[in-house]
Amino acid sequence: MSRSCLAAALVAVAPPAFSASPAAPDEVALAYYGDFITHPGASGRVDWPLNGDDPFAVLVEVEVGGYWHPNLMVALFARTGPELRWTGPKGGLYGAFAHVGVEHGFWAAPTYRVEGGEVRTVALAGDSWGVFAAGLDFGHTLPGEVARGWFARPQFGMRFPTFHTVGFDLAVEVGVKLR
Amino acid sequence: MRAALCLLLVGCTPGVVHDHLDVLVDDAMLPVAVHGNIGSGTLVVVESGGPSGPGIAERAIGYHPFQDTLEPSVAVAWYDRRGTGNATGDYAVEDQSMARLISDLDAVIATLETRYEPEHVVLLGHSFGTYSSGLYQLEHPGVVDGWVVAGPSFIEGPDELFISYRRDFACRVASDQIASGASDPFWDEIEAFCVANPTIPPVWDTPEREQLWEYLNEIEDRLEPWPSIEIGGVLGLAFGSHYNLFDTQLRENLISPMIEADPGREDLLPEIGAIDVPVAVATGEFDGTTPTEMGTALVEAVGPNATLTDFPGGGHYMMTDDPERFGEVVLSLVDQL
Repeated sequence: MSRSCLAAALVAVAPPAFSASPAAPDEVALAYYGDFITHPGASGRVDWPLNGDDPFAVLVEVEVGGYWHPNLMVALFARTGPELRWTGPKGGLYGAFAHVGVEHGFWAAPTYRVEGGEVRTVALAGDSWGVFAAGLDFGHTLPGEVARGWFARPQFGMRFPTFHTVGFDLAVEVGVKLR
Repeated sequence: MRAALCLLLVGCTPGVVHDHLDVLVDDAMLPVAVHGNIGSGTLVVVESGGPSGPGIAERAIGYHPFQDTLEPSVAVAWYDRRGTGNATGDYAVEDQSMARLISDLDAVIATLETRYEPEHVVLLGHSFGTYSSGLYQLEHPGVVDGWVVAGPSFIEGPDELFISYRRDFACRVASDQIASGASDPFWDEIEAFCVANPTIPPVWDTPEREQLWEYLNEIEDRLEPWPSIEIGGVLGLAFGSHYNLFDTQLRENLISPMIEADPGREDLLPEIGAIDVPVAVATGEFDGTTPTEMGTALVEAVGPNATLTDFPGGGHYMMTDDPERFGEVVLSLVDQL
């Protein structure tokens, strides 16, 4: 699949969140995004509810973010997909989500291109992939005025295509949901 | 001033680098790591085994423990071949070939020469990497100033080409065990086999061939040391380094089946004498994969420029069995340059 096809696929998947639900997002979330926990990044997410039946909810999420994998790459991603969430009687939040999207990584180490025997430095070189991520969502509501709740989302991701067909990533997000 | 500040602030050694860079060549991105004393003017470029060898990861997981032996004196560079490690890019499995692999190595060396301008470049091949580094020198003479051959494999081809060396290896090990007083009938059995089979026909599926492989496997189990992976290194790679180890280890090896020698070049021994640089060959006493017998043949083919160091009790990763001695082998060669 070409890179442009992947981008088109994301565009095709994402709009339901906007077109099917013109209402304002139910939640806005900001988080620390840790690729392999220790490679630091940040993410922002908006959630739209597809049904409002408590305690179970089905949401569509749209998320953008990035992380710095030292000496490997600075990666930027955009993903979307559904989440199933259950809110417990004491405010506990438990969910599971699955996203698809695209990611672009800019190589973070000095990069050289060798062509016809000539060696030259290259700026902003990188690669793009389609991504799939799935994970769990744990958290709790908060009584504050600004923060609506906190969450931790361990997740498993895949990048494709790579030469090896699929590359694997682990990540965890820890953040707050804002009103 | 910079060096003094470096020492004061972080305790680093002037001239010692811990660098990472990427090489783009023919739609592939090959990551490169350089560690050690680049101020020495000597750069050792590692050609890993495999060809699906761990590349850059070999240092951290303890397979190439050069931190205390080589790196204070010279700089050492590792890279991930396309199709291995963290190498990536827009290319297909079908694009893999021995010619492409040699071309990639040339691109890596050219980049390192541009970045560091070393006085001397030494190729350090291990196992399959000794074949590729030998082939590289035959096709690109004059680029490399010295060659370290660890676990000599000048053959890239079927077992038929290895079998005579492996027979001689098994016979030598059995003879040495008996001479040293070992009373296990296993060694007597091998010795009797060797008397009955002075040569092994290069034909697959013969009883003699199968018997020999049983002996080889048993010798490996009994005698050959194998490096253990350093857990700290693995955790450091996964969580505290540039390397995506998880990504690397979970992916299917798609490179090994695609790398084949060009017809007629499965055995480089007849050509190897054309390599006109100092050569240091290192073998492990109990390495049945690339046995000492292959090292002896290689040294004879190269001529007076070559030396052989056999590591008593060593295996296929003799650099982990005796890191200090391996460091001496490499630095002795560097001293000749």
